Amino acid sequence: MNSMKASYMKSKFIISIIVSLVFCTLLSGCVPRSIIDELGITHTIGIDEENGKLTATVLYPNYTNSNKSSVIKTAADNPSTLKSNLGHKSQSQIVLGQIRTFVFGDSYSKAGISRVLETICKDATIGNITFVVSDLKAEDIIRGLKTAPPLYLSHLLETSVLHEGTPETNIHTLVSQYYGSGIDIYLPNISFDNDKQLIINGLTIFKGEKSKLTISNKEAFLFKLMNDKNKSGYYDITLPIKDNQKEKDDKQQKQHNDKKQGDQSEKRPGNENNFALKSLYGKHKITLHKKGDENTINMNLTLNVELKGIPESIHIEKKEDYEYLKKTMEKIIAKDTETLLKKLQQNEVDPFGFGIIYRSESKEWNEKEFYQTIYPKMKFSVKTELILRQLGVGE
Amino acid sequence: MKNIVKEQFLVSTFFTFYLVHSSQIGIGILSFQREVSKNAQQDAWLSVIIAGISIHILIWLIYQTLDEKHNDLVAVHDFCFGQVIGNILSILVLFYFLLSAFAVFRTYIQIIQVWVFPTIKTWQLALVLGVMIYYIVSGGFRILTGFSVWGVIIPAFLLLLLYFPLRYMNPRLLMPVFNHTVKDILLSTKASVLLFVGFEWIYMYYPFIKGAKKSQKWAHLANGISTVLYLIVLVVSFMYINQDTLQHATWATLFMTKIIELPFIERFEYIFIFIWILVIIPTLCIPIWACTRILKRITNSSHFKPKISLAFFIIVMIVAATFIENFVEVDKLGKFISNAGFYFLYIYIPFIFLMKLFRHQLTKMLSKAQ
Repeated sequence: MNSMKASYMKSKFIISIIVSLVFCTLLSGCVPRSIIDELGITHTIGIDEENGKLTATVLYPNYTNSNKSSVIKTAADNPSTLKSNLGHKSQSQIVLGQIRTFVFGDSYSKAGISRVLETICKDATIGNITFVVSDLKAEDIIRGLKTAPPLYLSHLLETSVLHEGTPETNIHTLVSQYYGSGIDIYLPNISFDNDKQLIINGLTIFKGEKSKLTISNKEAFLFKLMNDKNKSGYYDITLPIKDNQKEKDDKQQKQHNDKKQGDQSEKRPGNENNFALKSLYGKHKITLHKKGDENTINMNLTLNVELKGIPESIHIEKKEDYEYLKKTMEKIIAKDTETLLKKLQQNEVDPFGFGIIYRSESKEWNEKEFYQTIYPKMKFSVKTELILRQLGVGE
Repeated sequence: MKNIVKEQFLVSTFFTFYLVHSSQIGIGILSFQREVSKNAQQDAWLSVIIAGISIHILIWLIYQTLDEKHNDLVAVHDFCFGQVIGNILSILVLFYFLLSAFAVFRTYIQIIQVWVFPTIKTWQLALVLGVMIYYIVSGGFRILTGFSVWGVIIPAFLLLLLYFPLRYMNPRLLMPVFNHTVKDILLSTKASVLLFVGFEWIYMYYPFIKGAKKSQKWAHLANGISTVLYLIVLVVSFMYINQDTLQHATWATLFMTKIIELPFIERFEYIFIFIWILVIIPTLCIPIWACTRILKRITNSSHFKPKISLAFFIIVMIVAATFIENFVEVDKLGKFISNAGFYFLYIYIPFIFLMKLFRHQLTKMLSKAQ
């Protein structure tokens, strides 16, 4: 009896060792693995439409062989085949896990971006990415980036959003604007300038899945002021000359001239009355005011600004001048915003999401009806308040 | 058929809080937003509150059903229906518990396949998970209780992660309030009941709690906190993702974590998925432990080892998991278990309560008559 028990214990011990060894091999990770040197990790993809087909142009850095980036281009009928076709053309497997920026070319964004967008949404490997639109072909943009560092475009966008007044967009905003009703898609627009430098060229606004209107950088900043939490950026203002100031101005100019002894004969570059205000931080509030059939959008903006290089004719320490400067700037910003709103309204696009606001305050919601009958008749009233926080370190 | 557990296997009264809370928070929180908001849309938060309150009533019913003498479901079945019918019912409940563990098991494998390793085979993951379940459950009920502490702590960290989506929130998406019919809100309530499933395992671990009668307040507290947690996640999701997009987002919570970008971790959702295994462990292991317990109680013999039945249940789950091949079937399984859970909670629990009450009165009257 005892020996039987001992042998049972012994066999149990051996079995447990074998079982644990077997599971050790499992735990060592027989999961699919990827070796980083053998992957084509792309950071930027450009999508175009050519002869009814989708084309993708991919830029991927080639870390192992040389420090140069490679560009490959391929065409297909659907986004998934596009990815595999890219693989056919490269020595390494193309992976999308580290992708940062999608560039939609002119032809593709005009034809509608839904196909690619829906594929991206379903792809779990894709993380938080940004999208941009271009008036050129996406292929040209990608080829232009070949000599630049791999993350150049995504860094350009990032700094531009953080500091230079481009409205923030990413996969989240794009997807919710695409599926959600009551708001239209907006994406930054990039292009090359005359010197072949890559620049951010305002904001492209979509109607449905198709691009419709591009607004300038200046307008895009106004849009950001009324829409984003981060409000940093510069807005340039041309101050109209104050009537009763003119005389004084002349006098001063004379004094100035006397001092400078005729330097004024040469015209200085730039506009004397034009300057930029630097927006630091602020708050915006958009409310809907319903009165019978009339819907008014009220926008309130409180902005803390820093002034740099105000015109010489303005003596900021004088209360009168201070008030004049403040009121005029407020008026200019409000007026420009109203102009922008009307422009958007005329083009039947709604990047602010007035539809969402309208929907949140009415029992019934019909997207089509809103954009056909209510939105075109909407009235806007913009109020801004500037708080002049700083004046720079100089005098 | 009295059922006394030795002192050294008991857990303290307040551990009921961890047990109930961690059984309720599980795989559901990764994806519940879509189902819950299908009917009531932005008013679905109301449905979650209604469901939470109704669960409080059910917890009360469970604690009324169990007492010193009949301290688990098998004993109650035995008391109400006699041994044969009672045991049949107990086995049916065993199937339900096993199925609810299996649904979690298969869905988690599905999530790993969809999000992280598309080429991995179901049996590989099932085997690894199965070994883990065997290891934990064979440790006994006290080990399970220890794991359920993790099931409370980690979901609490989820609240910190919600800071990131909060930066993009739009409170207007919660409005207009109450523009749905009562029917819509109730349908959403039905969908959100599944979130709270898990507390009914009290039926089996009740005798393992020291001073079990006093543990009721902890169970209620746990359910209250689950409700609040679900509510917070739901409201943040609603403010972050609009209703139309939500219907396209299968795993809305994972979709929300996509926005998280830390300087040292670019893709947070991968880490999130793997940490979540610790949250899922209680919802996976407690029902399996309950199954082995039911089997032990109805066979009521010392030579039938719970470890063998445990291995048997796990093998059944692994084999069954490999038979479910595509995502449609996983969805169907989820729907089925959600319906089964609904009926178990709202029909079976009150039914057992009434039967127990009836039987109790009957014995009283009979003894008086004598």
